[in-house]
Amino acid sequence: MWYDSYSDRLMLYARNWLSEDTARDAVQGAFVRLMGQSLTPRDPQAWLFRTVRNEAITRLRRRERYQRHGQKLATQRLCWFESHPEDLIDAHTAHEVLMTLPEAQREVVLLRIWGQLSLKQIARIVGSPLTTVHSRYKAALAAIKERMQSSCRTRMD
Amino acid sequence: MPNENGLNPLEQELEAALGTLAPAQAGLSRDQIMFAAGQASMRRRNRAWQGVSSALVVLLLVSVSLRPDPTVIEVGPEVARIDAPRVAPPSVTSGDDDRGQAFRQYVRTRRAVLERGFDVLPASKPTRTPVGGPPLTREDLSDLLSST
Repeated sequence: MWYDSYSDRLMLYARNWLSEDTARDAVQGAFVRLMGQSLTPRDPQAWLFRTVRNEAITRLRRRERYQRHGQKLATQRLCWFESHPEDLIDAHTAHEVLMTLPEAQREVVLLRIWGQLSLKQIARIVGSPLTTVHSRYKAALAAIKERMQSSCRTRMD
Repeated sequence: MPNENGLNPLEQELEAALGTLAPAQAGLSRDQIMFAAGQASMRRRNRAWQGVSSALVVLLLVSVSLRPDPTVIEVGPEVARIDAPRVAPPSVTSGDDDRGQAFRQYVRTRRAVLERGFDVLPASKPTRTPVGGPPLTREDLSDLLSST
């Protein structure tokens, strides 16, 4: 059940830090851990996202790629979203705009929009105050809106 | 009007539009996840047994190393035991038990007298002398022997 509902969303969240293969391993590890729990977590959705986050950070630390992973992700060609003609926003443009955001803002946007978590849950996952998370989210939306508009203008020209 | 997250309508619209984008397929295999979960479960079970046996080994080593020293019991000076010389029992060939017992009694008495003197002789009942005089006692016998 959790797998069907959250595997794609968790994968998107893991791609924020990791390459495709490593992200897949991290998400799989999170599901394996969930199945190994003797008691179901109180908030399994938030638990899964937090576990993926911890797995991602552990893997990044282990491979000492903190410095380079941003550049590596930016050069990845795989789009984070499925492209459909009826989409209001172009999937590739959305991916590109998201990649221009600071990592902390991008994480909040991914958790809020595609993780479908409340800002309170996000604050618990990222370990930041609720006000900080809220301001990051607002700033991220403003940046996305601005960059989307400029992208549209560029295409129109 | 701002919503519960404090977003204005434009931001809400953008949020909704972004939400229509579906994340790309994860490409995870459910069977692979189930297999990995089974493996992890077995590993955990093995670890539990390993932990229990390790704890028992540690407990054993601690109990052996902390065993109290053996208590020393003071024993008094040893008394030398003097064994009486062995005398081979006489072979009784006649088959007469009474005679054999009497002979053994004689040998025991003789040995005791040789080792410790006449005092070991039991106080004998006065016996009548063949001539009808007073019966002979141990004292009489001692006097008689000392006089010679």
